[in-house]
Amino acid sequence: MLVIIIKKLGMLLLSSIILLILTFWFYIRANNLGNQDIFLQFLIYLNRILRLDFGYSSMSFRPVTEEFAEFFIATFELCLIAMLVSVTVGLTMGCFAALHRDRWMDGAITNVSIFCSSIPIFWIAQLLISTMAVSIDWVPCSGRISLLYQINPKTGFILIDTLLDDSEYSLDAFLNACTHFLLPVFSLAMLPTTEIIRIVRNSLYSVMQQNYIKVAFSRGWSSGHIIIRHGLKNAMPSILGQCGSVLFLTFTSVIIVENVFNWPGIGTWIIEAIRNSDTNVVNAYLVLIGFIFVILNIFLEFIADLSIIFLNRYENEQISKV
Amino acid sequence: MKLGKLNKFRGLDFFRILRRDWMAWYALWFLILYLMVIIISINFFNLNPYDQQTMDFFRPPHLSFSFSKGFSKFIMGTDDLGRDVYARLVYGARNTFLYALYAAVISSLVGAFIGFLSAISKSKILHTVRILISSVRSYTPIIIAFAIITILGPSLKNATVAITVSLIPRFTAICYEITSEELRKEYIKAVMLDGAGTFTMFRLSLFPNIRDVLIIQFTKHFSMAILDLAALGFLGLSAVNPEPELGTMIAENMDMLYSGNYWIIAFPGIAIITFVIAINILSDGIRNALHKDNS
Repeated sequence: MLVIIIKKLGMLLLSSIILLILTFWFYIRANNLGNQDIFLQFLIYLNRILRLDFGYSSMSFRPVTEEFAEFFIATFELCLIAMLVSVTVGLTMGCFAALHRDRWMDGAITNVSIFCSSIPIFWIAQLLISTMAVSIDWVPCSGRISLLYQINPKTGFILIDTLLDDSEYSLDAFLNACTHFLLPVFSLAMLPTTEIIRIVRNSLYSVMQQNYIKVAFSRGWSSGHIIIRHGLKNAMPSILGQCGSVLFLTFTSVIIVENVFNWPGIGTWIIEAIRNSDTNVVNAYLVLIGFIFVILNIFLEFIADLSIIFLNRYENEQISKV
Repeated sequence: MKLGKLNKFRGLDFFRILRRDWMAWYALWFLILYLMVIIISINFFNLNPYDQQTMDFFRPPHLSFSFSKGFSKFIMGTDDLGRDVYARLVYGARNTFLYALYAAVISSLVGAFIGFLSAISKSKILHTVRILISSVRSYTPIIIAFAIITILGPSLKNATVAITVSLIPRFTAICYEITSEELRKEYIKAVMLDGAGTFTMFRLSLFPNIRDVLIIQFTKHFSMAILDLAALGFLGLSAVNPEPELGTMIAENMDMLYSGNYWIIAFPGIAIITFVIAINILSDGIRNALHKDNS
């Protein structure tokens, strides 16, 4: 246990140092500081990062950190809902495919997920806008909420803000915000869902071939019970170990989705900054998103290791009881 | 463990088993046909992706064939500047797929080299290099592209470099994991006890057994590189305007969709989807074929 914690902390330290060096290289190149004392510049840079001071944005003349916090919440809300959708759909579909192995259900789920993982997100998003939003006009095509609703930002999460609002149209605003979520969430959740289906199915395949699952089936227990109590529980370490790739997939495809749907989040912000060569914003993005990714990655690995330990402990207890 | 004599006809066997999986077999032929169309169109037809026909804006797609005149002039119509969509599509597909192939090949070669060496040799330096590389595993191509492109400016080469750099850590980690897992098995120890050197062991025993995984991972990385390159092009971080590239073509003409000129962005999207689907199905079929072959 202690060894794992120390290993993960070391990994965290190493990754942060590499991240700092890479972003420092970017900082030097972007600000033309190559001819000055590198070590002194690095100390100044470190000091600025530790105080979370990334200077001012040249587009809006506001502090970059403040803008980041504002835009990040919008992105986080979209990612969270998309992850919820993709985890529920992906887990159930993956379990179905693993349970009906080598039958038509498995083949159908596998082939549909291969098909969905091959579609570029920006293309399917465009298709959705042109059909669902423009041709038949069921859902709005851009933004977080209709401009006619005046909502005071309290938490930054639009779904919570609309409900907390005092005005008489708060429920209407909430429903409006929900319809704005439909298309972005669908196009964002598609790719992670296929990835989760693949991971869950492959992990469950190997677990379902074990003898104890066969014993459980021969006892006449229902397949849902077996999947939840025995299958998923034993497949959890390998599923959690591969979860990092799903998160990174979501966090990168959200940039594209936001640009298509004009969502006021990190993705539109950073692309606008790159077009205007706003180096402070790009530097802040690289440092902050990089740190979030590094911490998430190491946290997920830590949880996967912990789950292996706990599973082994459980097995050892069972053995000692017998 | 496989013996040399039994291994002799494995290639033919592989194709026989692949043929039983009709989807993978058709995907293989589809890919061959697709590449033939690109190569023949570029080399034997007089196509110019930059040429502007000032009289022919927004020509809808029109396919006709007569022996005296040949194919109709604009099979897939023209775009808002009067450029032939088919010519741009063919050259764009060549650019996208070729540069994605470069990224996949270079990243897998470098990744495999570091992964194999650090797993087989017990050298501390290589181990450190591998750990350093794996600690940047969380950087996705788009984020690396942000840093590179803000400094160097958008171009197809910079986008390819970004994708290559971001794919190396994944391939290294996969190669290292497979190799160290195989090295623990007994047949490797038996070969080493028989007096085989490291290179002989690698060539005759280790590599044939991990070849399947490498092929599958390579195809997976190739399809990932295509989608990433197209996504970077869509965000305006890849090829600059007149240069044809599939993602850039879609991004430039996004507003044309609402005026009813669907063909300018429909065809590039279909081109990406069909190619990537064919690669994914083929990779799935190869995995199944190798699996059946082994058992």
